Amino acid sequence: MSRRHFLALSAAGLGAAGLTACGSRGSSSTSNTLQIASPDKPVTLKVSSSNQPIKSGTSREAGSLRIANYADYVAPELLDKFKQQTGAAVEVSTFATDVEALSKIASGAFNVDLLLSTAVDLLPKYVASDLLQPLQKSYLTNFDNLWDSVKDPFYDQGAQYTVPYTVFSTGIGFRTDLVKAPLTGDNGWDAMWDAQYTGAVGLLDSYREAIGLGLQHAGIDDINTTKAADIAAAKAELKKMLTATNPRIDVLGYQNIPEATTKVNQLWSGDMLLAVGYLPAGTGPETLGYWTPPIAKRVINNDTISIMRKAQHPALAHEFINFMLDPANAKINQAYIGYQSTLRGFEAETLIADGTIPKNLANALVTADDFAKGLRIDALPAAVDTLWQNTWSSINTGS
Amino acid sequence: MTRTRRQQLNWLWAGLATPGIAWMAMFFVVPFYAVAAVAFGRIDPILQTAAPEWNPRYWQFDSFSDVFHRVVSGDLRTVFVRTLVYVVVAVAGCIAVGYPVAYFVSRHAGRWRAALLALMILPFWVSYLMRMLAWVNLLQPQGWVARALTTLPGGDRAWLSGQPITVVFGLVYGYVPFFILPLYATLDRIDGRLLEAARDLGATSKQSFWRVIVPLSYQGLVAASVITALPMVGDYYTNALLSASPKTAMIGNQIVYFLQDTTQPQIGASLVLILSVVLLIAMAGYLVSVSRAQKLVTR
Repeated sequence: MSRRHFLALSAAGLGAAGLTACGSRGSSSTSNTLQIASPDKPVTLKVSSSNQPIKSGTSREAGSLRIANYADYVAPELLDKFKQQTGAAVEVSTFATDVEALSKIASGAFNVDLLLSTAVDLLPKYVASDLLQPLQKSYLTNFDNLWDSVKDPFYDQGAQYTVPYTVFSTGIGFRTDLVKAPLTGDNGWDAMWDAQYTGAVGLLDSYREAIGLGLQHAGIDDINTTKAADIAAAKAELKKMLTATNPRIDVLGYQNIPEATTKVNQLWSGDMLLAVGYLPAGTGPETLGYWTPPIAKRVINNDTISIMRKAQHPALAHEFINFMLDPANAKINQAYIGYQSTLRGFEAETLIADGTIPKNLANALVTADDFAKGLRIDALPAAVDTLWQNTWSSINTGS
Repeated sequence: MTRTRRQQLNWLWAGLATPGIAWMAMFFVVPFYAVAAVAFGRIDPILQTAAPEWNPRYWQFDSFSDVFHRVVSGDLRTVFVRTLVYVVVAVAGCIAVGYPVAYFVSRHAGRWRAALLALMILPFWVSYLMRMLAWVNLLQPQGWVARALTTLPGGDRAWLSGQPITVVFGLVYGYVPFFILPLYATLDRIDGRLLEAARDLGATSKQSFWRVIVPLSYQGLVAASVITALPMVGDYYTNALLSASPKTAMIGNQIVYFLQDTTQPQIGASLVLILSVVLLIAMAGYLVSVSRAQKLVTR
């Protein structure tokens, strides 16, 4: 079943994220404050004098490169290729959620050089806690391969700590042969409340995405709202959905849709592209459809790559990032993980022309222009974040 | 045997038991204390991750108290009650399925006994997760079991979308091997001469079953029920795989959510502690039952 999120089910247990963390009484892990960014409030993350990039020209360290990543979120073939090129093996430690990764890195449970999928909304916490080191751009000779719109992102102006890894939108995946009419227009979300799909609806198991959907369906486009009334309105909408269609709540849309466990499923566009590989024998990719709102209401996010401050192989880590910014390598990676690269040459026309993705899923690709225009999931103040989390808890327990 | 020799043997057994006791202490007491340290600890103000408090003098109980009230009369009560109902029904299912199997193998299997015993152990060769995943394929709309079920009254439904019966079935299916083995061991130990005596005294086979076998297997039945019920209560992936619906969410799903997906691991840890207390009460009941039975035997 699993690609990116398999371990979310199998590796959780009772001792996951929370129990690995440690700390001492009365001390904070940092004296800094969070620099919360949004597209209309870009942030230049602080770089302290004691945390400077490595010197240009530093020789590659001996030993293996250790990275933290979601399960199956990087092509194994690529890791072998990197070893062939550099002689350095890559050891991957996996995590199930962004929060778990942060917790394990902060506690030292993950002693890694590089985090391959740093969540943008957690970036302020990583930086405020001095967990990342600034990048030495002289190593990143492939940096110019990136779309112009992602070179200077709002969450990390000047790309001081991160480079984009993948980009994806949020939408609905569906089987064209199992829904009455393909979802089109502005109100595709209504399908998730449509009783004709009862028992065949899937909702993302992500409190930010699910409540964000509830907000939008309630007519509130601020998907980072701090207002309790807005969140209550979103909860009411989602409760209506539970009553109307009894959705599955998981992150397995890439599997549910092709296997017809669900007929309409909120999912990330990367999972939609991945779903092609999960179609039963004899079922062609033309049976898959993807709907996403107009760009002004479309949620677009990206994962980033960053190097840990305590990395023992920082030069090697920089080489790995540069390796990932090579279009030939990015293509191998995308073929495996489904999620779209943000390099030039990874636009819809090219990917359809070379057969990487089927034509009917062109709208599951994010354009360089979309990246700057879509709605973003931003970091929330702690108290608001808690409210969101507890709201989601009361929804997904059926209370 | 001399007194000195007996004392030497006592020391020998105590010595042999020491590594096991140390193991239990290390891998039960210490992790349990770690859970308490998270539940009663603090949250890093920037990272919003758990900062366990190892010194009980500094434990804070606000969060635990809040969770306790949510369990007793708040939004978490529903999921707690639902979990207990599912477990009770699933244990009943295990008894319905497992008792006849254990009884047959222990007393009537004859030369097939070894083979049947091997079959009973067979499910342990495949991980629980894999066996559940197999049912996902069988019960999805295009799966052959789901298609076969459509021919039955009420069988035409989305079996993998919020069906309590699917989750309970999954629990029974997943845990029944754990139920059968201890029960089999108890039934196997019942002295056949007791049954012969019952028959000699005029009992029918039905009467000897209900008045000899059932009472003598009661302790095994309770032990098997406890052994299966305890992991069922904390189970989270049966629901996650076979339903994934809020309507069937179990307390284990909430524990995973708070520990893994949120910045409130102290809530997850508090739920673990509350669940442990509930299970301790059940265990205490079992131990009292065993103690009474032993007194009866030795009277």
